[in-house]
Amino acid sequence: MLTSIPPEIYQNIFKDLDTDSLYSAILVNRIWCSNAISILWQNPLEILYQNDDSEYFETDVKSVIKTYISCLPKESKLMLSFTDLCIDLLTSSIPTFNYPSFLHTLNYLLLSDSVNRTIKDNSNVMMVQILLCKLFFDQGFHIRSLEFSTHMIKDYLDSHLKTIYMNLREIPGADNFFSRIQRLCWRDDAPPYCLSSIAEIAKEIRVLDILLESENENESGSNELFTLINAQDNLQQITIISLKKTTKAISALRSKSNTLRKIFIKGITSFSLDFFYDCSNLEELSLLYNESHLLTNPQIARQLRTEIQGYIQAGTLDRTQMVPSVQMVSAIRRTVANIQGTTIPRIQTITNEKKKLLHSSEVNIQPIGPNHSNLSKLTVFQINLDSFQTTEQVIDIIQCNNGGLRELRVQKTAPITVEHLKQLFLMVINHCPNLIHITLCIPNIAISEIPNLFKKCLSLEEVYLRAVKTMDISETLDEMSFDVPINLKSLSLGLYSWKYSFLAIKGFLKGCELRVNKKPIRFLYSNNLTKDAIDVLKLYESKGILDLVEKKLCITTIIEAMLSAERLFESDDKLAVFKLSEEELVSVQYDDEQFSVDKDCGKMTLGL
Amino acid sequence: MAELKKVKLTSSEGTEFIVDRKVAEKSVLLKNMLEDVGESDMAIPLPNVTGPILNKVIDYCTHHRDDPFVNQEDDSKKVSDDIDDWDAEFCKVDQGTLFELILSANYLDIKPLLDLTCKTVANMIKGKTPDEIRKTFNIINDFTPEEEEHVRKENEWCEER
Repeated sequence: MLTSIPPEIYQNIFKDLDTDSLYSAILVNRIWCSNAISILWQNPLEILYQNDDSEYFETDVKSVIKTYISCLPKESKLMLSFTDLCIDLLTSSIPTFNYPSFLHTLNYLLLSDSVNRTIKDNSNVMMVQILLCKLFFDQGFHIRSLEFSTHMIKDYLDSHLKTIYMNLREIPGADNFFSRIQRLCWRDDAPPYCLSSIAEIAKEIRVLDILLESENENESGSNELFTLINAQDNLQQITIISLKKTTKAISALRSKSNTLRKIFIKGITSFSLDFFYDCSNLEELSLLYNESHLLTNPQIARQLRTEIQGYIQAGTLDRTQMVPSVQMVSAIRRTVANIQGTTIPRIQTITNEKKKLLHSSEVNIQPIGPNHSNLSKLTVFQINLDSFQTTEQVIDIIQCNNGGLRELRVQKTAPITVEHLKQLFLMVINHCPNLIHITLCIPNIAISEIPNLFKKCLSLEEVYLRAVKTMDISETLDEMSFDVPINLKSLSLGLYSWKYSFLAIKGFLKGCELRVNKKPIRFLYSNNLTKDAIDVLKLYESKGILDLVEKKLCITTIIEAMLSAERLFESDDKLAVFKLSEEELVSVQYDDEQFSVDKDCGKMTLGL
Repeated sequence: MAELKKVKLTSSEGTEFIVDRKVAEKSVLLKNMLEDVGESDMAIPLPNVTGPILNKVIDYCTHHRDDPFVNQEDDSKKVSDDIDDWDAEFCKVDQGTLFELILSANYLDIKPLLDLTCKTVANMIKGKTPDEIRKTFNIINDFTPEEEEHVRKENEWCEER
């Protein structure tokens, strides 16, 4: 019966198989081989580099390059035969398949590094690299994606790679190839001329992924990026992760407001939200500013990231979404040292680092009224509240969006008044009936509105309500139990700060048991709850209603709180004073010139 | 009102099935056909689908009648790894039926059913050696030893050691 199956069905069956299973599939028989081989070779180098610590890594990379070399046209092989290239690379046999034609993504860094690993003799590396690029330009009919970065594959890989850059446009066939490219993944480690040569030709790029780390905006190809973005006729998705200002590149997005569907910017920007009001097709908007953690030196940035990665791997830290800053790493080091009782190495201080933790938005443009907005297709909205202006604009956007939002993730990165937060929460309750995910800070004065959230947003699956201050929410919990969303999958109620009586939580969980379709519900809690409340939670876990996740008030949490100035008391150029709860003070035992804790007042002072 | 509309389908043997229009419209082929034809009491012949298979397909479409329509372009990557209980139970059929379901889902253009059945086959392949796969699906190895050796050599990088 298998013989009657058309190729597209084979492809559907094979498309998500792992490499080992695909390898088995190609050896089954001829039909299976011809259908599975194209999937196996969509991006072989990427598969290998994901596992670059394997003991066979070198041999495997060499094997891939060898197969590609065997696919080179006669003239190329002839050229290579005049060199002193290792003879075992040049087999005379004709390959079974045209392997380059299966490639979907050309990653220049991985290609260059693999060639370097395969051919030890430097004088030949360049030639092989050029011949292979030409091969991919001519034969890579399916390549739509060009990458100059590995940050999508594996963190911290780029720095270990040996890459020889060259102007790809000098290779015959490049123009034709660039004009087919639909996705470009760029990192400013690569020289700007690579970018400008692409910018001259490519017009069809739909997806741009950009990682910018270098210090100087002009050095890192900001102008080239601006030109590239401007030249695209149909740019639909853009991701920019940056450790420095990217205002120039981002300003090019203005002309793309009709085509853009997804925008993800994590980094430093200085424009206001109204910039996006014209994007009539925008479906996802994520703006995560990190102005307060301005890192100026790329070497240090990399060093910090590696160090943080180490803490995460060692299990000391939760995975953090933050762009690392010196303050953050320094705080982690201290805390780790405190726990382990060791001495702390001094962190380099950088004068430019001494930025205010708290900043106010640079641009202050009056929010545009609801009538002007076009953001009706927006379904995913992720933003950091860094000022009251931003908060007002978020409120505005939600009102204009006309109920289409399905995911809303709002984090506070600066103190926002409780009135503003309440206003935002009320707007969500009344204008987001289709919400599936919500992450939002709820000030104590708005807690009594939570039952209304449940009443109005019936599709909610993931609910992460963040506390601003400690509060007993027992009364509200009683009321909430009647309207628990029936699709609820995940719930966090003011982690670390909100409390409730065991009776209130019992009533609420009964409501969950009765109403919720699919159990267990993932439930986040921490040890700020009373023992009998936790006992109730555990009882419901044993009944299969809850899947409990205990969150410890850990270093990350405190540092996050500090850096987001969550409970900032006062700050000037030199000092930031945080108000911490008793529990937190127990965990934070800093005592030196940079941190001091005054237990009686519940204050922690952080020297900047 | 619109939901009450019925559609007649005939399998390859001529057996007639009456289903809700909403259920039939899970099939893009039928959906387009119904839109073109408009109101009609005529049965739609499905010469490529046998009665027992059509029965299964209708079961599937009825169970999933309220699922949102998935945009094929966008969500190709979103295919979840886990198959839910009902779907897993649905796929507990002999291999012949499974492959007929695949072909029917392909013919009728019911993407979620096609993905489900293909995934089920993929799960039967996972972790097996070439020989085990041949046994599972009753396949004969038609490679010459030289061909097989060539393919092995060219794909040495994924060899398990």
